[in-house]
Amino acid sequence: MDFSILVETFEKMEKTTSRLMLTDFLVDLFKKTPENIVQQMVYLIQGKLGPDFIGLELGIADKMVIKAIANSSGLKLSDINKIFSKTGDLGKTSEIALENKTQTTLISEDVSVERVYDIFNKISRSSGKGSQMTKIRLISSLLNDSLPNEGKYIVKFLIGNLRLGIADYSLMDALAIAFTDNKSNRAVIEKAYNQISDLGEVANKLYKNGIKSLNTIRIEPLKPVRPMLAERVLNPREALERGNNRVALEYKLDGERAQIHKKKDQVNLYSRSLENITSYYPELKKEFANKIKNNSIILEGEIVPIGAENNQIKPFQELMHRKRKHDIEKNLEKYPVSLFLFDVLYIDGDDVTDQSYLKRRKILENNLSNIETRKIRLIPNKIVSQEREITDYLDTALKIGAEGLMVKQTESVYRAGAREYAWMKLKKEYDADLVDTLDLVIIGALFGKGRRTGKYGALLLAIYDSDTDSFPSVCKVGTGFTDEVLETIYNELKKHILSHKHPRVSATPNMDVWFEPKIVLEIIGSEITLSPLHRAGLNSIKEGYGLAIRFPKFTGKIRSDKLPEQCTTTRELVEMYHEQIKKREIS
Amino acid sequence: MVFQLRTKSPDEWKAVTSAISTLVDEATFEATVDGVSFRGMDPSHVALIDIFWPNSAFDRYECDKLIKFGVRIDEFSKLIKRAEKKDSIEIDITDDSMLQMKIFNGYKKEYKMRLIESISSSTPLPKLTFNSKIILSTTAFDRILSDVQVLSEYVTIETRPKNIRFLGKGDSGEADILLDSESEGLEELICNEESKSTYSIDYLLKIIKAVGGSGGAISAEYSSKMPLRLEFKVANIGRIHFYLAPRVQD
Repeated sequence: MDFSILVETFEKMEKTTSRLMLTDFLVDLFKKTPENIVQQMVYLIQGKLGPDFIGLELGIADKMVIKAIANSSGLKLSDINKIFSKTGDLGKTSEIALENKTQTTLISEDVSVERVYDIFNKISRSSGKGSQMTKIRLISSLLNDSLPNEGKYIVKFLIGNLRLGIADYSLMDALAIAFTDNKSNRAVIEKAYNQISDLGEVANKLYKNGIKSLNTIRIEPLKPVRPMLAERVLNPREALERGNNRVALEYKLDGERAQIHKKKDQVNLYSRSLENITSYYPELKKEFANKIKNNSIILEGEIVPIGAENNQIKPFQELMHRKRKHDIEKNLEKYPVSLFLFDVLYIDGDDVTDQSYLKRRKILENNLSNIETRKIRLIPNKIVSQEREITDYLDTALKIGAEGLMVKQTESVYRAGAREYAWMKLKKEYDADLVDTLDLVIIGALFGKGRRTGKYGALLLAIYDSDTDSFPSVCKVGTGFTDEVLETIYNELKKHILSHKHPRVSATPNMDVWFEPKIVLEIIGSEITLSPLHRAGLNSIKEGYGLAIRFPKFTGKIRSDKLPEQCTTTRELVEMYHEQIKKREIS
Repeated sequence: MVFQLRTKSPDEWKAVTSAISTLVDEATFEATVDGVSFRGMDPSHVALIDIFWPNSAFDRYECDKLIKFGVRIDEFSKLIKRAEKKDSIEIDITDDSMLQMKIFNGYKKEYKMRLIESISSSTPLPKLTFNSKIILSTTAFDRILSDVQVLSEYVTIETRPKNIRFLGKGDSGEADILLDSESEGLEELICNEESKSTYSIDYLLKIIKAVGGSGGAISAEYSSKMPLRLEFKVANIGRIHFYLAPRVQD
């Protein structure tokens, strides 16, 4: 398939801010895609080379791309740099350079989607001595034969700057429409995706064997399962009501949620956002490999930092020392961690997600309680049916350093990727005026003044609306940042700057800069108010009004473990608003 | 596997490695019963080198089957340069990963060098017909291109039945050099059809300086707006061809 077909679609997408139109363009594209490359096509649209847990990354440095553009266009390096400093965009630079190409080539090959994917793959796999030269050579070999606009997107992809604003959500809609003529089949696709977290593989199966075949997709070791999520409840009473008066309590620890997969000798750990994090926790990998006798297993737990001297749980921030690429061995002793297991999804060939919480807990205890160590433990649990018991257990939890409780329906099954009241999170009782912390995603910024000149002064934040798969704005925040953190955020945000408002963002304020929604911050506010400006929960309380956070302040936590789709939702925000009103009426 | 090559002097190896080093950093050689060959393009596919070095040119040539071996060209030529003019060089490969080089000069020097992964795909040759052909002495060719380079990065070669012009145009001015059958250095001029085409001087001078020193005359063949092929006559080496794609003419 000609790469130019994909490029045409990308160009159309870049010009639209309508999410529905994005889906239409994708449907057209999928209808033109031959069966044998639908999998690669899905990855390319996602801006990836494979599912996240495989870890095939490009992230080519600007310098290398500039050299490749010079090679292929025949222009001098200094000329390319000149164009780059004028446009500020390497994709555009490549396009202009190729338009001004003065040198022909001896032989040329067609630029097909297959070839582009194949070369990207080779680039991501080349490493070690001489790999820089190899990478430049591979990039040039593509640019040599590319039309200017093809070169633009090849470069954007290579440097990780393909900001099309396509969510998995829209992709699944498009797959359903293109291959089954029925948008409601998205639910079937999503269910399959939740099991194996590989949309390329799901799309491939859908195309080849039809929608029914997706029902046979089951979770399997070494493919992360999209985690089951919890809804927020506000007090023990609500938790009990929603849990049919009998619930299981577990400490809600503030650490990094991890899925542990073992198959024969292979042990992998995956993050909540489905990335392979095994390399950060070599001691846990070793412990699992040595201690677990089961041939295959999928477990879930929370990794928390603990004291080097005692086993006490330390604050979440301590974990950051363990998320560095270097000095892993050194930090391993200085910042020890402990993993508290709380669920089992698969064991010795059996998918146990459709068994009840109590049955899964039994399996967990039967297989793992005899191997508890300092590094791996079972999280304690307690089955209760009284409000009082919940309050007491919450107190104990807070005392040992947990941030609250997980309350689980005892008969609930494990539903991959679902956020339901089968699992509930209960934090400490709120004061009347104070809302709990929220996880919000950065969507825009205003430039700073004074000490913050050249940096961002205020950030525009959004919640996630799962019904429309969009990010409506909820507040502007400028306090709670140290200079150091501000610098970090500034550099991180650079990678996500957009030329216009992101298609999935809904906001009215004029911003100096817009971003692709990527970075999630933890925010605390004083209350939730009605707002004519912000779009979060628009019309849900009062016609024409959205909701906003009053006096928002950054808590200091960058939630790098959360995807933007995992931040506070409209439903949660509206609920918090109602609860706030109730509290006021009581007091 | 038997693979052993011996030459009476390092000159041919020097010509071959310096020619290849103008285009690539890593080279895969291919040896058969008939001789050693190399074919490769620079990363931007603008230039191609095609070399064939027949078994008869070697003092000793043993190769019982097709073998490919890859070297980093700068490392390989560093070793070759350790040989002096009258030294003979022997190259053996006994297993896949190592190359052994012996240099005989009063005493015996022996190097071992790690081979790199060879490139499996072969480079196709462009299919071309040539309407014009000129043969110039290396010195004349080098001088003419250097003359034009003073003002321009590229040279337009215009061949007519009776003469040939080398034109250059830069930001600051123009160069125009005319040669006819009387001119010194022009050994042959064949023009079946008037031809005019433009090429990068940088590429041309690099290869001429790299190989020219070891040979006599250079033959250049091309057609209008088509690639150019240079043929270098280096004693003993059957074929050193250099192909260069034209620039877009304004």
